[in-house]
Amino acid sequence: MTWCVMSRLLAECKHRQNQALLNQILGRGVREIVKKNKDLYLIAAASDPTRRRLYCWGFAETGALGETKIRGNTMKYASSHRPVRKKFGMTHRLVDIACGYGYTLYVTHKQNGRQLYGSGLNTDSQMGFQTVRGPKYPLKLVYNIVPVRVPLKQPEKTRVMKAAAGRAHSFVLTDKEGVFSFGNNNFGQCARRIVDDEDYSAYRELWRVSALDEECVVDIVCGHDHSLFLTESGKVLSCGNGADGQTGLGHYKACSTPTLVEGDIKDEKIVKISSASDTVLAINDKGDVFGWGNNEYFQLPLEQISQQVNTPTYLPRIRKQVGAVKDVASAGSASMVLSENGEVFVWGHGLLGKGPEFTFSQEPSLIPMTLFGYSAFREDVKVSALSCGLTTMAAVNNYGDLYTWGKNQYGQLGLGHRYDQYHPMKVSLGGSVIKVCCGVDHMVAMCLAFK
Amino acid sequence: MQTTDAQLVWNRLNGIICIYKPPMIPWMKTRSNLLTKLSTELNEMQCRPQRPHVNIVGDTSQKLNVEVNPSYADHPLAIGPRYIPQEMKALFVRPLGSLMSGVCVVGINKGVGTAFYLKKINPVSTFRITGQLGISTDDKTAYGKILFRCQSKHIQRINVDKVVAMIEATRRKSIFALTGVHPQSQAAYEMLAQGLSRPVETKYPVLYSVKCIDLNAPDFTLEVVTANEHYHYLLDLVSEMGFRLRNAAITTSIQCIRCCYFSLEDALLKKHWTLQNVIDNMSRCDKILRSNKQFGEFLHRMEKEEMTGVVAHEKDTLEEYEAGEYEEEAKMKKKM
Repeated sequence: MTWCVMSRLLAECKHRQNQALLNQILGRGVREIVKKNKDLYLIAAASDPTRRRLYCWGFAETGALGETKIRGNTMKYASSHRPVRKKFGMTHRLVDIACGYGYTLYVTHKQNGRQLYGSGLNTDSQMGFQTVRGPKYPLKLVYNIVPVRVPLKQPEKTRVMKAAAGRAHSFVLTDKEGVFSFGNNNFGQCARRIVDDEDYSAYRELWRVSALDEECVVDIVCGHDHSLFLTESGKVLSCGNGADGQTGLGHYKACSTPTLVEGDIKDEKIVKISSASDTVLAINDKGDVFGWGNNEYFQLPLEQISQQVNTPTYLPRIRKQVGAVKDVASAGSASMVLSENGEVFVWGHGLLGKGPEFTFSQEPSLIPMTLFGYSAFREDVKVSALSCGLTTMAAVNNYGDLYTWGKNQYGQLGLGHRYDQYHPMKVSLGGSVIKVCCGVDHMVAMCLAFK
Repeated sequence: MQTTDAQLVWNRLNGIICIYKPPMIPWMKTRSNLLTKLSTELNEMQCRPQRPHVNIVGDTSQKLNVEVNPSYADHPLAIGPRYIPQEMKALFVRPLGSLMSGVCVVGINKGVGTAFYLKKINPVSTFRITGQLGISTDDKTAYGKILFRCQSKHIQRINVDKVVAMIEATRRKSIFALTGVHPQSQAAYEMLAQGLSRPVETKYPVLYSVKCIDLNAPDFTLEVVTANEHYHYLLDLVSEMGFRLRNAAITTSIQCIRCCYFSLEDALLKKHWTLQNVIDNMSRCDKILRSNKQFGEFLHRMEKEEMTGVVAHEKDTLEEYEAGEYEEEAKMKKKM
C-alpha cells in the first residue's frame, strides 16, 4: 500500500471521527486492518483511480447514461445493450449512485467544491435547475453529466452522503445540514407544500426539509411518487402520493409533510426499506419483513387478500418459509428477499426469474443458487445484495458478479441482447460490483477492477 | 512411517492424490517420476521374503531328506526389485501440458476408478495465465521463434478489461449453442437450475469466466475458469486477446490453481513426494471428495458395488481407455 492511500485512510477516519480505528491504524500494521475491514478495503481500493470503474447500459435517448456517443444505428432510438464504461467513474471518486425514471444522480467525494452530479431527463428539475441560454430557458434534457448545485451553508465542512431518485423527484442527504429535495411535487413527495399549477421545470430552489431536522436520517428511498425516510433509531417517515397506501399512514390521501409511519412497525427497529414502485417492503433488525402499499399482483403475501394496504403489516409467511431476511427489493409487480444464508426468494407477477412458464406465485419461491454461480466446484457462493427496477431485477454475489433478469426491450439488462430474460444471467463487466442501481429503463453499476 | 512393512503400505496405497506438477516437464515424465519415487521407497522398506524352494535330496531307495531354502529364483538380485513403477497404476484426471504447472489430480492403483469418474464429469479448472504483450511468436509461447514485435506501453488496464469481458460474453453465449437449448426457454432455466451447464462431450472446451487480475504493461495476468480445456486452447485465448487489442500477446506461464474440488493448498510439491506424505494426502483428498454432496454419493455406490462383486463393465472401458491413452502418448513421442 502506498503512502498516499494510507494518508487518505487517515483522513477518512478523522472525518468519521472514528478515534478507535485511528488509534488502531497508527498503532498496528495498516495492511492487516484493511484486510479485515471490508469498508476500509473499499476505501483503500477506490482511492486508486486506475481501479475505479463505472458502467452503465440501457435506454440512452433520455440522456440517463450521460453518453452522447451511443447512437441508435439499427433501432429507432439510441440505447446500449452492453455495459459502457464511463470515464466519469475514473476521474471522480463515487460515493453513491441513484437511478430515477430516465435520469441518474452521482454523489462523489468533494472535488472543486462539487459533490453532486446528474444526467438525463430534467423536465421537473429533478436534477436541479440546469440552463445554458438563461433563466427563462431551463434545460429539459441533459445528455452529459453536469454538476448539480447544492446550496450548503458550510460547503467546506458538509458532505453529501447519499442521493435517492424517484419518478421525477430526488433527495439528497448530507451529514450536517439535513435533507434537500428537488423535482416534482404534485403529491407532496418533495416534503413541501403542494402549490397548484406550479411550473416544476423552472423551479430554481433546492428545498431543505426542515421537518426532518430533529431526526437523524440515515437513508432515503424514493418510490414512484412517494418518499420514505429511515432514521438512525429505526423509525420510518413518509410523504407523497398515498393512492395505493404506499405512504403507510392509514389513509389513501397525499401528504406533504414527513409523517411518522406506525402500524406494525411502530416498536420495531427498521434497518432497510425498498420501494421501486407502489409497494414498500421493510425489514427490521431481527430479519422480519413488513409490507404496505399496492397488492394488486400479490406482491405482499398477506393472510387476508386486499388490493391495497395502507398500514405497515407484518408478513409472517415469509418468516415461516424463508427464515430471517437480510435484504429486500420490491419491483413493480414482484418482490424478492434475500435469506440469511444467501438464497433469493421471489413472488408476485411477471418475469420472476424461474423460466417463461413461471409467471405467477403467491408464495416465496426459491431461485436455485446454481443460477447465481453456485456449482459443485464453487460451493461458497452466496448472494450478497439485491436491487429492483420497475420490471428488472438484479442480484450481486459475494464474488462481485452481477446477475440480471426481467424485461429487456431497451437492453437495460446489459446482456448483449434485447430479448426478455427469464432466468438470472451474468453480466460481463470489467470489475467486481460494489453497488448496482436499477432505473426504469437503464442500469448503473459501480465496480472495482479485479485483483 | 510407523510401520516398516512394505506390503501393509502397499495395501493402503489406493486412492486419489493431488500433486503440484512442475513446469517444463511433460506430464508422463511427472508420472514416472512420482511412481519411481514411491516404488524405490517401498523397496527400501521390509519387503516380502523370498519364496521357499523345496529340495528333496538323498538316495531314492532310502528315506529322503526334504530341504526347504529361500528360492534364488525369487531373489531381488535375480528378478529385480519387489516394487516397480510399471506395475503401479496412475491416472491423471486432467493432464497438464509441458509448459503448464499446478494442481494435478491423480488416481493411484485402485483409485484409478474414481479418477476415471472425475475425468468423465468434465471437471472445471481455474488457471492463472501470465503473458506478455507486444510480441508474436510462432508457437504462441515465450519459447518460440519471434515473428514480429509491436508497441505495447500504451495499453491500459481498461482496454484489457473491455476485451476480456467481450471474449467472456461471446463464449458464454456459445454454451447455449453447444447444448442446443434456446436461451429464452423453460428448458434453458431447467438446465441451468440443475447445475453448471456442462458439455456432454469432452471434445469442446467451455469457458466460464475470464478476468484480467493484473496488468503492468507489457506483462499481464489472466484468471480463466474452463472445462474441457487443453493446452492449445489456452494459448489461443491469450493470442486472441492480443489480436482484439490490435496488438500481439504470448503466454509465458500457465498455472492451474484449482482442479475439480482441489486447490493449490492440497497439492504436494515435488520435494514432498514421499510415501508418508502421499498417504496423508490421500486421506485428505478422500475427505474433500466425501464432503462433496454429488461425489460422496458416487463413492458410496462404488463401495457397495465392490462389496457385492458387481464391478460392472466400467472397469473394462477404463482399461481400454487407459490403453488408448498410452498409445496416443506413444504416438506423440514418435512424432517428437
